[in-house]
Amino acid sequence: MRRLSFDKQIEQISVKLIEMADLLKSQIEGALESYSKRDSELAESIIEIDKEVNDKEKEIEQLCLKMLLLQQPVAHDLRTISAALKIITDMERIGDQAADIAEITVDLTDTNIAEIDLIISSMGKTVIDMLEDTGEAYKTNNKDTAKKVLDTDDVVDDLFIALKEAVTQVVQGDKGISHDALDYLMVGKHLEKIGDYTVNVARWVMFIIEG
Amino acid sequence: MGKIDVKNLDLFYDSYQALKNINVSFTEKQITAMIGPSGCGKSTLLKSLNRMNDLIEGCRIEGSIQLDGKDIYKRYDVNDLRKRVGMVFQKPNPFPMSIYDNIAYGPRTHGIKNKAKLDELVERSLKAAAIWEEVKDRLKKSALGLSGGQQQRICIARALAISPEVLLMDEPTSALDPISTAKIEELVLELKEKYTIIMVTHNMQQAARVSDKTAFFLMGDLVEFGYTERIFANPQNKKTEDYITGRFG
Repeated sequence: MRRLSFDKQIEQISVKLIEMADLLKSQIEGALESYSKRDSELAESIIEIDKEVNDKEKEIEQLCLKMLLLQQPVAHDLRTISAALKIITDMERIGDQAADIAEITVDLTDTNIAEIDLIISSMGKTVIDMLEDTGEAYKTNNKDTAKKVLDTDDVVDDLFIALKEAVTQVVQGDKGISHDALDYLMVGKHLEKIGDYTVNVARWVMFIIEG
Repeated sequence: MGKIDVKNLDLFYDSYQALKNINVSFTEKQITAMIGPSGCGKSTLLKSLNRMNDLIEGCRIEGSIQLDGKDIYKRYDVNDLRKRVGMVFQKPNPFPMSIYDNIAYGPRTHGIKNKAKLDELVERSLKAAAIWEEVKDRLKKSALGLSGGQQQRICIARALAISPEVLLMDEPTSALDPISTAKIEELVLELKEKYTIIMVTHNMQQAARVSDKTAFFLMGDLVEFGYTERIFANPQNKKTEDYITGRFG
């Protein structure tokens, strides 16, 4: 016997979580593009996307709370719903970090420093890969893919350390750039936080799979 | 060793096998919930634990059930067994007599005649069943005049009056409203400090709320047995998962 309406609601949670993850991916990509191109207009639009992310969080939260109230789920159902509630909190924070990167971009000067841009670009690519892997682990119930996300976070942390060193050297060489340099560091810090939140999400995916 | 140990138990009603090689240990001063669809054998096992099945013609058991290590089906005095292992049924079934006499009935049959001692026993039992305050001023009135929830607590008090060690409960709240159900559940949680409780329930939330361990039965088999938290959070057997999530069948 299947619980058709209940199963449909569980399915709805999955669909909406994946939509939220897709939204975040485009938000992070957009934030990074606005940073590398110093595109204020694009940055403003990325800040706007954050509202959509927040709305999605509220929508999923309502759905989960309704299911907890009306269906009193247990076992895998309970894990799926309770994990969704935790996942949306972390995903909403990822959205905040991406919006913060875009906000920094609005005030940045046009000076590009190749070495720093390269590190930030690598960090961005890595966190997007982590987010994609987390989504894949969720969709396919694959705990190995989820575990891979946990390991990849070390790469992001190492890149952030490299960024700090690079920024320090740049400031030592040219004191005039110190204001921008602090912003580069902030962009790196936001990306590093995105990595951390993505790890949290991957851990919840593992909880759904393994209990 | 548990308070009650069931070992390799097979139970037949004539040629129909209702329980198949059941092995389970009920721990002292814990609440064990037995769950499963109708006809799975959970009530049959419950009744076997104080030999209520003796009354059913064609019922035959193999294997053993031990109370404190002693086989209750081998040269065991049934009256003594039922004094030690009391039972509360699904439908409240107070005797058609006063509240006082309902509680005093068991002790009287066990030879207690002293009025002061009986008074003390009645009060203690009604207090233990959390109904003393509600009935203390009408002990001589018929128990049949009480609400369903009160009647069920009278039945629990009646079971407690003979100082059992184990309480068997067969869907004790299925005929009760939510408030009476909540009172019985609270009571059961208090009673486990002194008694070993084994409860059959169709209410999954009830099993999750009150029991320490849960046993899931299906078609005469004990499919899964373990700590309630684990069974309801992460069952190991797909049949258990399907049943508790309402997808069984």
